[in-house]
Amino acid sequence: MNLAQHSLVEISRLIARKEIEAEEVTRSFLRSIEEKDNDVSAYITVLGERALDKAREIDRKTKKGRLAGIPIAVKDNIVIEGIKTTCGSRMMADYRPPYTASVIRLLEEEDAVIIGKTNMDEFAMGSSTENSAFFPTRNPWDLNRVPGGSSGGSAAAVAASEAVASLGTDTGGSIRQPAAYCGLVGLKPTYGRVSRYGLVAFASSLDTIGPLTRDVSDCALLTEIISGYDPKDSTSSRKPVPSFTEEYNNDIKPIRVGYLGEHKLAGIKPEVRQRYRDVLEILTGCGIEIVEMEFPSWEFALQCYYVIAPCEASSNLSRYDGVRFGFRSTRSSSLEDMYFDSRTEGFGEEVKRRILLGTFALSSGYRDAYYLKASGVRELIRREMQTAFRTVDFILTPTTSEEAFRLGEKADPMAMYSCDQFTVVANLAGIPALSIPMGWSCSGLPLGLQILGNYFQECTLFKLAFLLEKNVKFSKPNL
Amino acid sequence: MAFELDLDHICFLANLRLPENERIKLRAQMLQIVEWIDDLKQCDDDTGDEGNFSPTHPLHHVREDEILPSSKREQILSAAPEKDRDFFIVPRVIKKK
Repeated sequence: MNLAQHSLVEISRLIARKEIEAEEVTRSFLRSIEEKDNDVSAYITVLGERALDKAREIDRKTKKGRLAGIPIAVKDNIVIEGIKTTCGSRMMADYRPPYTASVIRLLEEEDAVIIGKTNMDEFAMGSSTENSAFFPTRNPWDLNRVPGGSSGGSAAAVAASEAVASLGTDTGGSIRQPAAYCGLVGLKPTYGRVSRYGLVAFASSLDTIGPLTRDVSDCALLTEIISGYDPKDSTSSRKPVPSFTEEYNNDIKPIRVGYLGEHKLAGIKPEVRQRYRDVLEILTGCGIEIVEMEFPSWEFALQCYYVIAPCEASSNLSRYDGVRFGFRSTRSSSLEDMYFDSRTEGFGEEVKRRILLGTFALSSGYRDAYYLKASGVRELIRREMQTAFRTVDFILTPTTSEEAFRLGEKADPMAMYSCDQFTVVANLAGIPALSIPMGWSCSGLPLGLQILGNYFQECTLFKLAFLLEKNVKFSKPNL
Repeated sequence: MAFELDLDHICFLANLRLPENERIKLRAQMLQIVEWIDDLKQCDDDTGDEGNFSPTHPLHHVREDEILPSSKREQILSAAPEKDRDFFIVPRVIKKK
């Protein structure tokens, strides 16, 4: 049985019907990792023995959870007690956390099998996974190209069938962009929908955890399981979690969908623009009203993000000083030197760049002009989105302006930052956003469509995504 | 706005110490980035005093003021680069004369 062709929901049914055992499923995916990961490099740590022990335990159980026996990969900034958590950084290369993230606990309570920790841009700062201190991950569709980032390892693992599904994190697009580049479904949930307890912080007002999956039904199930109030996360919402899995394939009520006009798509590749237009035509054919929207504040969204995120990062990463955990330089003779040397040797180039940028923007004489100004622009973006959602139920954009680019292609930091042009808005406003495949580029690479929804509207996001999944033809062109 | 990028000062605040070749390259990159984010001043945000965004708005929750279990000392110390019994060990702070 070729499990690589099956979704999470399908494998789950096979296990529930006892047509296959959890141990066999886990072994199958471990073999896949062994065969492919030398080329793809999705994983930093493969948890072979732990995964098999868990799978055997599940096979002995009479009552099994909803994810029984499903191998899931987890981005390496989400902690599991005693398991190396590197954040893709030399600073954390040997760090073993003393606790487990709430999302991991929720997955394992439903009998998921955590199969490994995946590669990422260092401290989630990047859009290609090339900023990992260890090695770059490669896009399974073309090994000369990036899988996207910062959750590139999580995306590549699922796309290469080295895991059934994965968890990533999204601060400015780091689930959605790799999902688009790797032909997957990726959700950034509403801020506060999923607990951040156990997520190593990058930018605390922007960070979210979410799933990357093969299809919408898998995404709905994983989101349902990891969502909910957590007393250990003070930003966690007490709003009840609807049953996404019962609702997503119900009929969607009459809706209006906003889209971007041609002038807003000027800088993007023609094939992305064309595919986006094709999707809008499909929606119209389904009887859905589409409305052209204007978002004047989006012109400043990237700059706003690249002030706020580095500012928060400069604060969050000040904890890495070599004292209590993480890398400590061996050449320091004084405490002060230890701080400087440990941080200078432990962090990579992009992390240092963002820390310095954030430190500058918060420093005396500049805080009002940069950080407070960016906070005001952020509020403007939020209000503009709220106004938009009085007119439409969703907003559709391309997830990215182009297909996955080649390794080494974007050496200039600002070229890399521009990858986030459509995705940062959702993080700044705190709203949910989903990327689903919308077709293929001329080079045979996946392209993604982004659906933005209002706060806590993941349920209706899934409904629209499911409708699109049924109606948009994703068949791969002949090469 | 006009800005002065005193990279030495910023590195000091950030507890980073960059070699000269990295400093030159980074300074050029940061100047380019800061000039780009300077475009924010063209945005008329007009959000007033109440304009500062709070991600938890309106999610302000408090819990009962009671002591709950926390991490154990030995678990936290297990990650220490250097330790001695219940203490993290660091280079001497007070220098002998």
